[in-house]
Amino acid sequence: MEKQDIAARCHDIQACLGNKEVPEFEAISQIGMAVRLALHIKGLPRIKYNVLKLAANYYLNIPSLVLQSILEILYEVQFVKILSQGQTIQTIIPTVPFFEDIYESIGDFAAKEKSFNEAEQLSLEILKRLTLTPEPKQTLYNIGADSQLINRSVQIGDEGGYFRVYRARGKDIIYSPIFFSENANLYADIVAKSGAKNVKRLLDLIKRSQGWPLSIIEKMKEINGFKVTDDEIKFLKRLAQDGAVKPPSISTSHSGENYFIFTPSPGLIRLTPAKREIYERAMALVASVRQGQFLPKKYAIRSPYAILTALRDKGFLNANTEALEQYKKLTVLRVGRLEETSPGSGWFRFYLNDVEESQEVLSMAIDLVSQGQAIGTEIDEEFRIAVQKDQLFIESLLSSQKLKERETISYTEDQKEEIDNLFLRGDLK
Amino acid sequence: MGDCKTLKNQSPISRALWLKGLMELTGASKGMVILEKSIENDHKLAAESINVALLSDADLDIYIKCTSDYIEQPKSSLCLEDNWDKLFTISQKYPGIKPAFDFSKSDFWNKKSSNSKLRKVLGLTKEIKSELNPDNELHVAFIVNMISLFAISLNNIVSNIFNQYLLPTTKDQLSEELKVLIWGGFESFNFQDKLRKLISQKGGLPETDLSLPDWDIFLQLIRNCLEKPHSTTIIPLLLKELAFYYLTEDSLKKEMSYLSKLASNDLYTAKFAYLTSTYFCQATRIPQEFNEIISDHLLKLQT
Repeated sequence: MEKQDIAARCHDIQACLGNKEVPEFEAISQIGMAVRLALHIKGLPRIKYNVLKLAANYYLNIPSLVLQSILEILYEVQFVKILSQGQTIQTIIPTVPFFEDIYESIGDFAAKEKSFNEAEQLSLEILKRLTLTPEPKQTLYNIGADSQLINRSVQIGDEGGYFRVYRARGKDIIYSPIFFSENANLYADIVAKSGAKNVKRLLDLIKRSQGWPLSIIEKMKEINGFKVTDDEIKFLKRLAQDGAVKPPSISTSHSGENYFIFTPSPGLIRLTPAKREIYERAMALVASVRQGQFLPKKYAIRSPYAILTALRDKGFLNANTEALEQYKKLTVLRVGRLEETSPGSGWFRFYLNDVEESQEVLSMAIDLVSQGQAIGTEIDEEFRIAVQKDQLFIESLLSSQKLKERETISYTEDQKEEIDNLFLRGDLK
Repeated sequence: MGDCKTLKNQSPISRALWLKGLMELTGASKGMVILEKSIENDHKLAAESINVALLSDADLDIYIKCTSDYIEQPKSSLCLEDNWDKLFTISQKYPGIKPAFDFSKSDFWNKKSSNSKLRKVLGLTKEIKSELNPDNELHVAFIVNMISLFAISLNNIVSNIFNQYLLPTTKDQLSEELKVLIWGGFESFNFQDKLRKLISQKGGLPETDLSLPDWDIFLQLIRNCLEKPHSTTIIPLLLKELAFYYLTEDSLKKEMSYLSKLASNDLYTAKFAYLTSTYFCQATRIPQEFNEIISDHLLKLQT
């Protein structure tokens, strides 16, 4: 597995587990917490250790007892400077680099300095497969690990919230809610029917061309020049019609109602609740621009990226007669407003609302169009605000909470018996 | 721009007009003339129309009280006259440092363009690196003073980049824009880059792209500063105060509170000062003890 994959999957698993403890996991927890902390402190000024301890526990589920060891990992990879008085840490200064892949740096450290046991390696491998598509559970047994260990990994993942098993067409399909938070039943069904490989290919195409109109895919039988099969088109139509969460849609007088296809929204760990609303608005913005690109009344948009960057640079889009229908939904979602250039002319100019939220929506929309995914959505901004305040602030948050209880993912019956036997036999050398 | 020289037989408005000329030459937007005597109102009115404030000694006290961001005046090493005298003796005591010192005293302030100042400060310090001794507090003070000049240029460059691009999305984009800015334009950069490669070729050296030393670290420094560009405006003052702290007599050092005040006013300033000095010490290849001494002090300011 690539180094950045190791670090990214450790982060995902640990973030999902939260304050649950898994007896088998050590390296995964350490590396996962290190990545999570690094992502959240990048670019911040000095942080008092006492404040960090409380905030990391409250927001990131990093227990106070292990924080020092996590900071030591970050120190090793030169992501923090630690200022201590004797053995007591006083302050940390984040030096997480920009432009460098945090996952790669920490993954590199993990590959050299940490040793993942068999259970950890298996969990990482299974999750890596499920980032791209759900899979028939049966295929996991081809990895080559002991079937009991596989079952245990799946059980841990289920209790931890990063694996789920869905029964479809008589088969168990395993998927990860981290990457398939919506309409998992539909994805599981198509995997059960056509296999994981086809779903992976389709999702790959969609990722490269986020927001493609379903009607165009149906008509041209392709997405951005790549052919799609009739079965794949049927699946996309099912998403639009039967999905619990439908893709964004726009209604116009000249082209009717159209759906715009996106990859599944990231799950809770990869998309914080605060960012989810922003993400949905960003999809709506991309859909509006794709409407103009593929389904104009008269004049097509040639480059959605250019339109979105123009909106970012100028704060508005030039007036035209199609703007009203094209961007109306965005006004309802409070992304922007429409202003008629002169009463009754039918020419409308779309203005982006001058608030931070709208800027975030636009930035995310540009990422979706140019890179196929939104960046930085896993960061909890409240943590970043909290660590820049004083200890009183974070203590006031904690005072209303009960002491956190660490749950443990219980051993299986077999494991319990094995432990009992160990003590019975006295084989503890 | 401030003028507090006592000149006999010159009316206040004459002083204001002279200062206005100097402001035009250096690009300063506001001037202040401090006079021992009291000043007639019509002189003050006329001076105000050309953005020059005419203040008497008594006026100055009121001005400071009304515009300062502190209640009780903090003790600053920059306010000790002896420290300035010590600074100006450095080049006499250590002739090897003279070229860099003379630049820091006059040429730096006469140059308008930040991009050439940035390169020159680095280049001159690098040239005299073998003259520098980290065990000598005067040398430490001199180096920190040079870093404060570097920080002035850095602040201008960060402001430029931020005003044009806000936050560059990729490393390559930032790198290209910085190179064009630092070398005074696209054509100038291309020309110097080609020239350097030709010379390297002739000398059998590897043909690397034209850039500042430790370019990747410089990019990280700029990118960090772009997170809070406004915080870079105080870095030069903080570093200058630190430089003068090293010139202060040991018995007075404990009283000097301005440095901690500057660091605590804005946490980003202290962090950026640390990153700036770390880069400067590395890029100029001065003995590494300088970095240890200066970094240690700047890190402690943040606890």
